[in-house]
Amino acid sequence: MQQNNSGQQNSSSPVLIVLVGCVVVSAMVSLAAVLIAVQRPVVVVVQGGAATTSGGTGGAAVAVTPPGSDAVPPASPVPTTITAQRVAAAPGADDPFNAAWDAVPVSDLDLLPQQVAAPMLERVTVRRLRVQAVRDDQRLAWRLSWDAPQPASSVETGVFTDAVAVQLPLVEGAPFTMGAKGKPVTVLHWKALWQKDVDEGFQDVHDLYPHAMSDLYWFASGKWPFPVDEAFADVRSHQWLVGVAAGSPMAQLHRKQPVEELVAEGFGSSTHVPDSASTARGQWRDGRWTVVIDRPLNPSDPQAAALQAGKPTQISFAVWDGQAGNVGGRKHYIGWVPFEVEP
Amino acid sequence: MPKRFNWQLNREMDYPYDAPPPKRQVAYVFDTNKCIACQTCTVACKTAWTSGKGEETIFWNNVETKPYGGYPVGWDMRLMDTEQPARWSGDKLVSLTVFESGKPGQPPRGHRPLADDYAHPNLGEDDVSGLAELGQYFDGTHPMWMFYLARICNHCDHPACLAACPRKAIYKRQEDGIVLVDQERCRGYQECIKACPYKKVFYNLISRMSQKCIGCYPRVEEGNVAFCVESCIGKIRMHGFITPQGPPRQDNPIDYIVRIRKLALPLYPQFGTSGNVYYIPPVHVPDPYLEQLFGPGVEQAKDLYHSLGSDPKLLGALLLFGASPRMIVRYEVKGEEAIGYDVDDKEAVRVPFTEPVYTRPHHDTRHNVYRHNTA
Repeated sequence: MQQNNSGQQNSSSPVLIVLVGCVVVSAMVSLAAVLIAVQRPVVVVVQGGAATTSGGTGGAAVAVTPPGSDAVPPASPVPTTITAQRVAAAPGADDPFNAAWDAVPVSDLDLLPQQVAAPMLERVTVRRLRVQAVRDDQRLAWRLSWDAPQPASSVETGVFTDAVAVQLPLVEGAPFTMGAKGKPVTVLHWKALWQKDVDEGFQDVHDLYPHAMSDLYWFASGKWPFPVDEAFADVRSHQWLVGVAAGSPMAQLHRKQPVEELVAEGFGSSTHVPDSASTARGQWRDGRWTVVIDRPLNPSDPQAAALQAGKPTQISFAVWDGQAGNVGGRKHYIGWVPFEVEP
Repeated sequence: MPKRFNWQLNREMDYPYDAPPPKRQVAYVFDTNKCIACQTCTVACKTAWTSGKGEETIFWNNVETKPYGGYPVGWDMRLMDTEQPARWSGDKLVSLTVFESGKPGQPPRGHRPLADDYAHPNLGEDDVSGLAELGQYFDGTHPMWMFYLARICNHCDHPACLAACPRKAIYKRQEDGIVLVDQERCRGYQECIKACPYKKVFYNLISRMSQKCIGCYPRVEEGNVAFCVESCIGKIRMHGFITPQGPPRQDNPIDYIVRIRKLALPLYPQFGTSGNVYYIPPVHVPDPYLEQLFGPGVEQAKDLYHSLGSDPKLLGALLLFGASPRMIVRYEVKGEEAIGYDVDDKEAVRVPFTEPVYTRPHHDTRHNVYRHNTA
């Protein structure tokens, strides 16, 4: 029996893989600790001197700021409707910083930690989400922005991605808690990780670990490092890419859009809707994410909410802070806010 | 929270997910005294199931050296650091399980390893418990010790991974109790990775989902043992079915070894998941350490192991380890042989208690050749 105190790979054992230079991720976790914690959902509208308990089904905290203002919202806000303003041509999802957005009113929504269902979010690290909405004859688009000191878009064990989601009821009376049985909601979910996939190509093993080495990928073609979106065309190789073989919406090697459409009938039930017509683009700049998500105004898909211009409906949002370990139900949210598409 | 009886703890416990127990339950017995950490099991598993991209540091099967080894690094110690020490009253657990020690409404208690923790599967390999002191000599018992612990998914009676999944993307099969991650429903939240006390659910950075040991279910469906079991050159493993509820069967080798004779013990029963890989404890390792790993039955199991020579029924069950690629679900000892029957109740293997010795003559008259390698 030989002594091995090296703590590294031992040649006497058949360890196939040597990973060198793992990313330092533990430091990221501690960053979250400096951010402010809120223990319980407090359903109030807090702006300036006026604090009122909010009405509405979801406890919306809304303030509307005049167009073009980045300053603190006015002192006496009225919980109000988010209106998708009618414009001749809605700014495309390709540029979140299109100047056309400067003329669109903003609503600042106070976010709450999801503490309705397990697993819960214990600490609030994102206080507020800024929302804008526009429509033209064809499309409906939202621009969403929030503070994120550092973008989180990595993929690894114990590391999570920033994300944002828009939720609309598919039937009247659907609860903001991801809908309920027989009362579905539709969700458009953007992830920073998917944005990175779209912008820079699928985040592969060698993107995280440039010196990673493996002596066997069954039925891979081509050369090291065997890019996963090229080298695994042989279907026999898919036995070792089970997620890809199963067609999972998570394991999309050739992602075209960083946004996913979902339907849900309660917590834990969200289900991928294929062939979504939604597009999106998010960009992190100066400590803030700015994400545009759009969808057809009148989608042919029955699983996308039909929206009638001028008819009041509701909308809600969720934000995930990847660095703080937000994932799944561990998220920030805002319940139903009145929403209207301008005729 | 629903209550469940955990036979390994001899008490009821809270378990957040109410589901009927499976009709059958796969189980394994590993004899730690025979393991030499050759890692053939590890390679068999990895070659068969986890050679894909994103699976570079995923080992559904691993063999680590105790006391200092562990994959992922410190998987067990990091959990025990956050929990109260296990306390037993006889064979009943007094302390709290991972389902009971956390905050209400939160998933089972656990910790989430980071990528680096999976990158050193051999950390601590072959390290012994202490250093030899100057002038120390061998007087019959080595003062320092180590042993090899082969680990796979425990396909628990009360899986923490399953209980933690907010999407119910993990399920326990009715037909054999194998625990699987649904690769269409999983969304990569990693709650299972945090919750599994044995850290046998892994995150695949290519599929962005969790994956875990599938118990070689395509083989189990045909009545064959898992790859890690068949490939074991030391024949330390038995793969069959256990009767977790109701009376154990005398003629089921796993029931007999685990439930009737209690020669093999569950790993960290205090966690509360009621795992189904049972270990015959290493007889040379001090009790206090082993009791932390295997619970209060260590001393009795060691005594049994020492007296196997005069215990033909128990020894017969042990002779069937690694003897056949078929799962042995019934056995009997007849005369000087242990006979194992497979899932179709056909005789799968017959193992003599004493290995026959053949002496061949130096000159082979049939072929008219001389053998040079005969004793």
